[in-house]
Order: sequence, then structure tokens, then C-alpha cells
Amino acid sequence: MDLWQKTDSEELYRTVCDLEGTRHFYAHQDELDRAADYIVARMKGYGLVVREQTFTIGDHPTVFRNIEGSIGPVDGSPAAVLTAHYDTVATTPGANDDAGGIAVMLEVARILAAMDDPPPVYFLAATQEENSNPLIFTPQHESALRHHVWDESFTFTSWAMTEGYRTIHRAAMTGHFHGGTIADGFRNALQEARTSLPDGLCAHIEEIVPLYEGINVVGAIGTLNRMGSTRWVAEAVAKKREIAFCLALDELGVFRDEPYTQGELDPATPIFESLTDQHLTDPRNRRGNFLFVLTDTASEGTARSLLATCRNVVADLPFGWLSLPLDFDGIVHNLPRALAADHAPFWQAGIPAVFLFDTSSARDPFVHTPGDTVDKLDFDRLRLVTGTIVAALVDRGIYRGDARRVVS
Amino acid sequence: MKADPERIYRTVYELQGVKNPFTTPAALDRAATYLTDEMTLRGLEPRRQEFTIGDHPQVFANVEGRIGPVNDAPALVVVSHYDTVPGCPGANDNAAGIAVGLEIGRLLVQLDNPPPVCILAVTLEESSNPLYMGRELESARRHGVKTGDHRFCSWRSRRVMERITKRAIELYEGSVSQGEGYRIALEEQRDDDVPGNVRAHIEDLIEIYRDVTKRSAIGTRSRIGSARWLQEALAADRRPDSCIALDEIGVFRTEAGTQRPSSMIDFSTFTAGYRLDPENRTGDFIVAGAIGGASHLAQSFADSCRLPDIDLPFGVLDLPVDFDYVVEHLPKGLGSDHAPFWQEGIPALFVFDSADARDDWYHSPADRIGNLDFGRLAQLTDAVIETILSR
Repeated sequence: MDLWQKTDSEELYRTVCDLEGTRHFYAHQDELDRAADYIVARMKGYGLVVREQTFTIGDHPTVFRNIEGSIGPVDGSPAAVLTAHYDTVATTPGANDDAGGIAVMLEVARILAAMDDPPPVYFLAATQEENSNPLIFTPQHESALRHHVWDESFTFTSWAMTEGYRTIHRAAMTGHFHGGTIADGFRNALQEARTSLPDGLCAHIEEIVPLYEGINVVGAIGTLNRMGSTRWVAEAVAKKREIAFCLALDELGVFRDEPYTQGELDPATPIFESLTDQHLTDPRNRRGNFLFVLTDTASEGTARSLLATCRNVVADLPFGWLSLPLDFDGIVHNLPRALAADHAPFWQAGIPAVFLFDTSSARDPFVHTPGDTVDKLDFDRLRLVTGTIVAALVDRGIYRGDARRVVS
Repeated sequence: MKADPERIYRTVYELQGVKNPFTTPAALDRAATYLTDEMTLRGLEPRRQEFTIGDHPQVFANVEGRIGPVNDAPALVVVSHYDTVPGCPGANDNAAGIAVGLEIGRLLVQLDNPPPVCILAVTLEESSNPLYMGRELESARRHGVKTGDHRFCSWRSRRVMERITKRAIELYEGSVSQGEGYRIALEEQRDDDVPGNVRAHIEDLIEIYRDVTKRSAIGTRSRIGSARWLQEALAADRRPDSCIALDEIGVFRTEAGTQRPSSMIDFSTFTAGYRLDPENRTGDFIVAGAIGGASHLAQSFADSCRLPDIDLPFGVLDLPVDFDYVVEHLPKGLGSDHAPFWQEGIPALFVFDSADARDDWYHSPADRIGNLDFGRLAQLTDAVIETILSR
């Protein structure tokens, strides 16, 4: 039996069941800490070298914890990084976002830990990937409560608030994707829509504008969100750690076999039609049952190697690969939405990083909702994703620098 | 006289939350009290119909608000249910139906001579009979198939249970009892595919659902409140004139590809439609279903939706068939509170958003108020009122 075939869907299932629950500094700080402790215990149980990178944000009292486990000769040769995040938004139990990613990471660790001579890998369970900077989140929520925009459970208090806030928020986000700051986006949107909005909402938006001052697409990385991974990358660069590449796992467990379950990531670029490579996808029926793989120019070779393993060794996992012919700056200007998870700080640092996910809300209607529970994930497919990663790491071809330059 | 989206929003906001006899029985009682109070506030004359099931201790309640000369003339019934499945806050299933019913009531009582109408809020539409679902949940826990919080104890158990359940329902929708469906589905599995505890649980299900058929399930396994209400009305010689059932009516989606193909409710099956977008499969329309005897309701509802000041996109499925045909060939069409009315030969129109063909959050913890379109719900309220007034 190949090593990758020892990956076990029940192990994945168990991890997601254990982690499920809101893990958020404001809504459930206890669950956020419990998850960190759980991951530490699991990593130690496999014999990994475990280290915590802790940090605070401004004068907020919470100590945030990145959990790093390592295996193999990480000091002597360029290492792989597998990363997933264990925090959630305030309104979800986060089974797919991103307990599933943590589960895959821990299962890869379990398999590699049983090897006599494992390849060098850092396992990074990052915190604060979601939009939950306490210096922004808390004052915004308190302002919203004060002006009755939403209630304690983040439910809008009226239809007018619902429509008004959505309009303003959409405009602000669109504005910042076009190069401005989120603060400018809110200001412009408010100016245009002011007369049609409930009074409380106008007051609320005016109060939150200063929180978003200076935050544009690049400034948001590590500030608005992706805070844990950004700090880990900064430290790795400062310590001159040799990183061969990163595989970022975020929302990768929802696979849907019914027709018309794959929506668009970007209305202007139909997803199936823009894929660089694909395996076993069904564009005609637009089935949402494939792993989506996203890369920038620096990570193209890493993805090529990973996907060759997926196609030739694991065989049964459908995938679609979008290889962006852009570097970090190009993505910032042309496709800023592609920076939405923990691969972004790696791209920013010039480290090859392959983003593996299920296209999130383009397929998974439960993202960031109370319905993101363990029953939505496909643990047979998730096992094949895990198997692909194990097989690629064990084969070690993915580590070779020249693989990054290969063009077929 | 126009529906107010904010009032509809407020009712859903207040009513949102799990209301199920097994997980949150007190919430069912609170909802019944809330509905009674809300009907009183709107000037409807509320009346509670209480009933029990077997030796289960809980008292269940339908709440009915009467408008116009309901004692002198056969009434039109607007029915919706307020109970939910476990774990689901039920904003769309079916607080929205209740909210639209209350708004219809509020507007109708303001007329000088309102027609005889019953706004009926029923309980136990979902499969929540303690004698069936209660025993099923107990068995799942006893055999360790599911944990106390309704999660499967392992991936393998979940996969096998899903496969067997899907097959059992397929057989039940064919021609056998639900219990027999489980028996055949279990027999079809390879022995080593089914863990021992799952097998023991399925054997319980074979026994629990032994006598439940497509026909007998109406009013016993589910759709219990509406069936009880209708039995009592018939016994009291108050046979309703017609019925409009509202269940899952609030999810409208403007993006392409949001209306998924379905064998029964789809662009190609509609007998009439208005402002549909089959090319992009946009899920932005209301659906109304009728069988023989209810054509006039379907026609009138369609005419109302087309009025320039309502302008609500719709697809109508008006089938010239009888109840027996539906049981035999379209059993999925009996899935809500219109079924007991069809069974009694009372013209009934079923209004919904096509449920799981569009509503991704159906029966999940994510069935929340943020998924609903209250602009469309106000239009729908106006269209139902027009339908009632043009009777």
C-alpha cells in the first residue's frame, strides 16, 4: 500500500467534529483558546516539535496564538509549509471554514510522523485569518448595537437596515478593490445613498469610517485579516528560514455532485472556461465537485508538481487549476479578490504558495453562517486531498526548485 | 392597501428560532402564544385548537384568526406552519409564511366588508410525530448512530445511512410503506458495508415506519396540525371553500444558475409563467401549484401577479389531475399543508419558492432572516390578497 492510502477519512471526520464551534475572540474567546490547546495536543501526540508564536493587537488584552508544528530536517533544507486557520467569524461553527483545513493538516502530520525519514514540513495552524481585528471589530459592533443596525446576534433590526447596510458595504468593498481605501469607499457610498438610508445607519457608517482609514488591498493583509499568517511569514523571513513553498488550505471540504452547484468567483470570468488545467471536472453541468487550485507566477511549478501527483497517483480527485500569469503586484492591481486567504502574505514575500480551496461561497452557501457544520463536508474527497499532499511531500519532487520553472 | 415589508420583517425577526417538540418544546408553546397575541393586535379573532398525540405529554396548538362572516359562509383558508425541524431556526421554513399570513389578515380586517377568511397558523407540519420521529431519534442515540446533538458518530455511519435513507425514500415514493422501503434498502446493501449499530438502527426504523405510506403519512407522520384542523372543521360542518398554503416563500435570487434543475418544478414543467429567465436559470420567481378543481385559484393568482402595481414573476404548475394521481405519480407534490385539503377535494393552491431547488439553506441552521427578500414578500402578500378579493 502506498503511504498516501493510509490517510483516513474517519480521522478527518473526528477532527472536524472536535473543532466545530465558534472560535472567535469576541464571541467565544474560550473556544478560540480551546482549539489552540487541542491542536497543540494533537501535534505533540504525533511527536512534532511544537512552538507557539503569540502576539497582541494594539492595546487589546487578547493574546493570539499561531501554533507551529514541525517535522523532518526543517533547519537543514528548504521546508514546506502547510497552513490552515483555526479561528472563525463570530456567526459560524466553522466546520468547513476552516476546521476542515486543520483536519487535513493534522492528518498529513499523522502520516508523515510515522515515517523513519520524513520530509521537512512546517504545520502552521494560524489564528486571526478572518476579519476580526479587535481594534476594528469591537468598536464597529458596538456602534452597530448603539444605532440599532443589528442586534447581539448580528441580525439586522429591519429590512431598511438590511438593504441599506448591504448597499453601502458592497460599494465600499468594490471601491477598495479598485484601489482606494475602505474608508474612502464607505465615505463615497454614504454620500451617494445618504438620503435613502435610515438615520441610525448614516450615523453608524460615519462612526466606522475612521476605523478603515488607510486600509487598501495591500494594507488589509495582516491588518484587517490574515493577521496570524502575516506575522508568521514576517518572522520566518526575519529568521532567514528556508521555505521551499507553502500549501494554504482554507475551505476545501465542500464538494457538490448535483448539476448547477458551481457558481462564479467573478461574474466577468466564468470559472470552468478560465481554468489552466483540469481533471475530471464537468463544465457542461457545472458541478461543484472539484478541488480549486490557485497560483501566482512564482508558485506555478509547485502546483504543476502537486497536480501531477493528484492526477497520476491519487487519480480520483477532480481538480481545476487557475494559474494566474501575474506576480503579487499584478494580482493587487488586476485581481485583488484572489488574495483572500493565508496564501497572500506568502505571495507578498515572494514565497511560492498554492491555494487549495472549494471556491467558498461560489459553491458553499454555508460559508460564515451557522450552517457551516460537519455534515456539509465530503470526507471521501477530503481524504483524497490529504492523500495528494502526502504523496507529493513523500515523493519530494515538489521541493525541487527547478520544478518551479518547468513549462510543459 | 399595500403590504408593509417592515411588518413582515418584524414578524420573521420575532419568530425566528428552532421550534420543535424534541429539541425546543417550550419554543413551540411560546410561538403559539405570540401568534395569538399578534392576531389580537391586528383585530383578527384568534382561536386555539389544542390536541395531543398518543401518550406524548405535550399539548400542541393550531392558532386560527377569523375575518369576516366565517360563521355564515364557507371560508377561504390561508394556512402556514410555525413549527421547524430540529436545529433549524426556520426563517423561510416557515416564519415567512406566517408573517405573510398575518399581514394579509391585518390588511383584510381593515376592509368595510371583508370576505370570510381564516388565517391559520398550524403546528407539526414537519415530520415531528413523537410516535415516529421521537422513536427514530431515540433509536439513533441508543445504537450510537448519532450523538445527542444529532451528529453522526462516524463518517462511515453517515455515508451508509444517507445511502440507505435515500433509497428507502425512493421506494416509499414508489409504492411500498416507508418501513418496507428501509427493509428493501438494507437488504440491497452488501453485508460488510453496514456497521452493526447502523443495521440495528435500520431494523428499528423498519418497525417504526412499518405502516406509514404516502397516503397515511398525511396527518400522521407530518402535516399533522393542518389535517387535525380540517378534520375538526369538517366535523363541525364548516367545510372551507378553498385554501392557499404558504410554505417556504421568501428566497429569491437574482444571480444566474440559482434555480437548480428539478424533475417536477422547473421552467419546462410550468403551465404558465411571467418574467421568467430560463436561459440563465435565475431563481427570482414565486411558484404556485394546483390540481384539478383549483385551476381558478391558479388563474386568479397569476392574474394578480401580473397586475402592474404588483408585477411579481411567477411559474404556475396547474395540473388537470386528481389527488390519487398525485399520490401515485407526483408524491413530492404533497409535501406541505395543502395536502390534507387536496385529499378532501377542497381546492387548494400551494405557493412556495421551490424550496430546496433554490433555497440552499433549507432545513439547516442557516435558514435565517438574512436570506429572505422582503420586497418580494410584500409583493406576494399583495398578490394573495388580490386573489382572495377576486374570488
